[in-house]
Amino acid sequence: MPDRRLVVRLKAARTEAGLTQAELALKVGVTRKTINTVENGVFVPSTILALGLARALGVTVEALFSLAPDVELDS
Amino acid sequence: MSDAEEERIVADMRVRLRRRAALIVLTCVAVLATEFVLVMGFHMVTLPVRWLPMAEVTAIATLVAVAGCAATYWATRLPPEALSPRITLRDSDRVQRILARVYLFYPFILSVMAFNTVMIAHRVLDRGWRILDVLGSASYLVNIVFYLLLLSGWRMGRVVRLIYQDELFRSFRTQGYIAGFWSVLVGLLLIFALGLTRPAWAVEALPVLIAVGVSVPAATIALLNRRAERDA
Repeated sequence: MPDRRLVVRLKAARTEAGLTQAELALKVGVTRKTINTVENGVFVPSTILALGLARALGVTVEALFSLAPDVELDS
Repeated sequence: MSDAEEERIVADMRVRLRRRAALIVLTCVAVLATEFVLVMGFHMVTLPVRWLPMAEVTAIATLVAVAGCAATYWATRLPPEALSPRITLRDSDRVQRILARVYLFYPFILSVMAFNTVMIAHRVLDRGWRILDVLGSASYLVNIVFYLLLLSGWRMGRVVRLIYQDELFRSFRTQGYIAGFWSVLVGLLLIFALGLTRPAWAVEALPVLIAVGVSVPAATIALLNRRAERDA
């Protein structure tokens, strides 16, 4: 079940970088399934992995992940 | 290393691992056959079981198992280039699928073993220890430890640890352990309640609780992995 609080743009960034899921997985040091589930929003990655993905794709973390507009954070 | 070279290494590794699986099955068959022949040779089916012949059967069967495992390892050992993190990650889908299949078998295998151990506990409480009861319960405990090691990845090689430490698989394992914790806790409460009225039944039910404690995390991990594959 995808997590609706998170907007994931990993697939678009990866395609733009001309990488397959397997290639990106090798660059970051995780399995292809991890990349796949992150792209589908099924798995929310750790901060370390999110930073690793951003570095591997040459973008910022915010370009890959953001909170859904309707998410309310407790103050 | 080029893509073609990596493909060749992965293909070669898969052939070796298929061969390894076949040799492991062959070793198991050899151990069973050895035990069968020796047990028939010692006429243990008709005579009361005694420690000496039983120890001999166990020792010889263990030797066959060790020889089979050593030969299997030697015949199917992987070349160093196949043990690199890169190749491991390339082959991770297949390895995780195999692990999930093995985990899915836990409940079936352990329920059979637990049932046997419940019978042993019943006999021991009723008539005291016999040789086969000692061997049966020891075998159950050894199996439980083995399955736990396979589940946790403890003392696994550096390369296999890459799969276990993968972020997604680690989250599956965490969820599995949580499910296992709750199932054991509920089971303990039930057994405690049972023990208040029938203490002997509580002792006899403990092997089932142990099996549940190992099977539930394994089945949870397998099902989560299967769901992730379905979503892929």
